[in-house]
Amino acid sequence: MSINKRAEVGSKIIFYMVFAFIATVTAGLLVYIITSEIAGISKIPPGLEEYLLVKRFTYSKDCFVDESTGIISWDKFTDITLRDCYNTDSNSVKAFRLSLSIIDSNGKITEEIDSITTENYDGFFTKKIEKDIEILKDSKTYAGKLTIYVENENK
Amino acid sequence: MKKRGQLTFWMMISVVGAILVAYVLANIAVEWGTGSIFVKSRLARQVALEINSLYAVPGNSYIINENPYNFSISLKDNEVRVFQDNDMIVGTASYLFIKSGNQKINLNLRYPEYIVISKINGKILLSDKVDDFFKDIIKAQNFKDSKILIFANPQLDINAYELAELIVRGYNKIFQEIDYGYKPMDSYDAVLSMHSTADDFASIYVNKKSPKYAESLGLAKIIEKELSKSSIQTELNQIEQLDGNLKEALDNDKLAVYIKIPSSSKRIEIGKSIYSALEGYSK
Repeated sequence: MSINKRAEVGSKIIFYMVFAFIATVTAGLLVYIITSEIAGISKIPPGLEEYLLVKRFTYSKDCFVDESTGIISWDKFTDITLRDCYNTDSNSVKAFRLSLSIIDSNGKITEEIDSITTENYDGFFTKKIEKDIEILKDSKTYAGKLTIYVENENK
Repeated sequence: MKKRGQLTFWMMISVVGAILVAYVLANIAVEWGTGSIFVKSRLARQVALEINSLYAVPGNSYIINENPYNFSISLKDNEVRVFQDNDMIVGTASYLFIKSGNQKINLNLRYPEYIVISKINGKILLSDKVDDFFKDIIKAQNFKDSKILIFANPQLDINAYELAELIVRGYNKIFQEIDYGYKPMDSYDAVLSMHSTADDFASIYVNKKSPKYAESLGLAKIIEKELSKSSIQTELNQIEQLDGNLKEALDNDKLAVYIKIPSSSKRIEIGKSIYSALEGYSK
């Protein structure tokens, strides 16, 4: 092989290396620009989905709310009810552990159901939400607290 | 040594394969480049969130979405998928929702004009039909792009409306940064909603920025008769909860109706009387 041909092959290799580098950087830049500019339209505001799911626990009659009064029922607060009203075993969605407590006028817990979990709950919560609620037990209304532990907060 | 026929056959396979790969890559590039994949993803997420919201509403309720981008949609088990016939990879625009109960969900709509998601007696339904009443509203707003109207059906109790309000606010949060046509609730000419706040107050209001629309939507009847200002004022006097801002809003016609009800028992009682007054509204 002549010296000229060797030089030609060498320069081709350098050309392809430079081309590959520039092409990669350009493609990367394009993907970055497109995703950062347009992908925002499909972004859900942080906390909104969790907020809506928590509403299910506090308002849905398929969950714990008593049909006639609209208040959380002590008797309905079970694993079975929860797993029926939040029916998933997928780890790709949020998981919850809930506990319910009746509180006296001094703010002390007098009775507690601790705790019930959704089927996909693995025991590693990252967020705790407390809600002051009314509880219906034996046809009487009590002041109470619903504590919600959220797993997979960012999913 | 390979025969000539064999060579031609493998060459054809390679060419066809290369064309297919090129077509798929081009399709993906177009999806990403035009942002189509993100719009589909947004719709999938939006519908999944709406379904989650509907499950939280105590009563029957439904949500109407326009479908200006002409996508097809399917709900299978607990997944929403948005797609078009020419999509090479199906399932990239999808999002999970969480079912309530054991309903087997397998619903599809091909290029619907509207995507109407409803929860009737605990079951999620999907339809492309909007009753005339809601169609009128949508036309009246001169919607050019994707819009959402949310009305909870006052079947069971006041919380349905609270959630409807919540969803509207939630969607405002989603779309206020996006130029895809969603407008804040205030921009609607007539929106009826009801909500109760965390401190156990319930409220109902009819936004009547445009009396014309209110009349065409059947709201005038409510505003002028069943829930006239005087009757509301009577209610308010009884409850003695009218605050300055609210009074100003009533006086300036920004709000036609607004009631605060301080206790749960009172809330349900008055809520029921409002519902019966509103019966004509949903017909």
